Amino acid sequence: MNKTNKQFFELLLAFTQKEIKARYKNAVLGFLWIFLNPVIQMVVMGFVFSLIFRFNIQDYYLFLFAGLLPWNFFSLSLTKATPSIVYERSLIQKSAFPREIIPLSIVLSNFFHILITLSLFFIFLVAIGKWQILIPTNLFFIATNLFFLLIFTSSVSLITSSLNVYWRDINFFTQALVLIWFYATPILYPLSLIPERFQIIFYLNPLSGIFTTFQKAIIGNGSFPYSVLISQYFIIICFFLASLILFKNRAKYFSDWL
Amino acid sequence: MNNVAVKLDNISKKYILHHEKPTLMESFFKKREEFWALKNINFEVKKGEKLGIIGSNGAGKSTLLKTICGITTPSTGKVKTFGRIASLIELTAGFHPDLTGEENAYINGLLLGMGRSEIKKKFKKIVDFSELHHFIDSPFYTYSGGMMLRLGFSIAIHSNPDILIVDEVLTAGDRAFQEKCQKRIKDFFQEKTVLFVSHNLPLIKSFCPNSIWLDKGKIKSKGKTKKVVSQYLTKYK
Repeated sequence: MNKTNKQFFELLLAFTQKEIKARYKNAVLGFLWIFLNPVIQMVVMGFVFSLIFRFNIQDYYLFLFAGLLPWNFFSLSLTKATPSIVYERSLIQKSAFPREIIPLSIVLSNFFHILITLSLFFIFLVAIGKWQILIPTNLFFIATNLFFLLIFTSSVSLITSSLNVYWRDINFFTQALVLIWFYATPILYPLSLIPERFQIIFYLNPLSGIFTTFQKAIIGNGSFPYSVLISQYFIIICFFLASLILFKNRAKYFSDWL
Repeated sequence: MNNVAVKLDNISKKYILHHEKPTLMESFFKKREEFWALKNINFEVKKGEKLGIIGSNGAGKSTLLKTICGITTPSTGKVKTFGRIASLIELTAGFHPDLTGEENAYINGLLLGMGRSEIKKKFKKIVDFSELHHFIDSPFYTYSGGMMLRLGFSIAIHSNPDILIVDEVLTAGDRAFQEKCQKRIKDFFQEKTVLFVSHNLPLIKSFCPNSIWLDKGKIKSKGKTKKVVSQYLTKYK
């Protein structure tokens, strides 16, 4: 690895640590909250959704977790990263460093959280006798989809955070977008519930493949055509490269607009 | 070998002037008002040279420094710098109030271009120079303004830059610490490239053999500091 790359990753790591540490620093329970929060969240969700809201699916609350946990990562990262450049204006005005570190460190710190939450969830699954996540192909699918979810979340965050510098409306737009996107992604309902002729609309949403495959790997519900999944992966990678280029271009003039 | 430290090639910087928040119609149709903060700036700083930059408020000094540091990009022209730059313009950038002095020192050092292992090696020296031994593991919001500046200065000076950009702030902390800083900067002046912006003309005269006078975004005069300063003074008499 050459020197500037090493420097970049060290700085990215330091900023990610800062995000995580600063969040828990002055809480009495400190890092315990990293575990406590998702447990409370899951208990509440499990209660609410298995009582009021149910589709005819076996273990509906497990199905829900499989979708809601990654969704929380996506929506939290996006809503927090979008205004991040504007929030860090004083730093940007005073120091020259790769600007993409700011939104990326927020996404990464949230990624750290989802990894912990998911491990807890998997321990819980194994404890109640749902062994299927331990099958190697399922583990492979979980890891791959987490990776693409991370890449996709980073891309969207890079775009919205850089555009938000010029048009502060983007922040409000993103909040609305996250809400719409939530219902447009198979999280509360399985994709198989959608009539076949409408399913093609879902193929346009890069998150639908990730989420459906995720649910399938975790609780064995749902199916998604591999050809579409592969093309969605491909699109996600292209999208990521495009967002990096856009961000780099815009970042040159951030300090003039803050 | 190349003995140039900073080279500015026909630099201009245009800003869009922002007035009172425009209405929706205006923001789409009204022609944008432009403002040139820098116009066709050319100069070169040799390695080891000490260059003073003077000029009244709004002359473009800060914009010039920002383009050299790489904080902003010029509208036209090219900036070339050779070596690590540290600016003493803003010592407390990148400090987070909830983190400890030590954690902040690492982040700040990385922002200045040091590697993690390098900071680790110099950490003791940084703390020694700042004289903050007792507080280095306290959260930053408990620090006083002077303590923050001390730590910031200490990190900047230990980042061992090739090019140092010094703004007015040679005045970190109390008198004793100030003297220590000024001595350190003077040592630094011996061998490194320095760009020095100040309104303190005697200080510029004593530090920098050559100077540039910026006025309304243009170089009004450059050359021997004595000559440039006297021209600058006659205009304001």
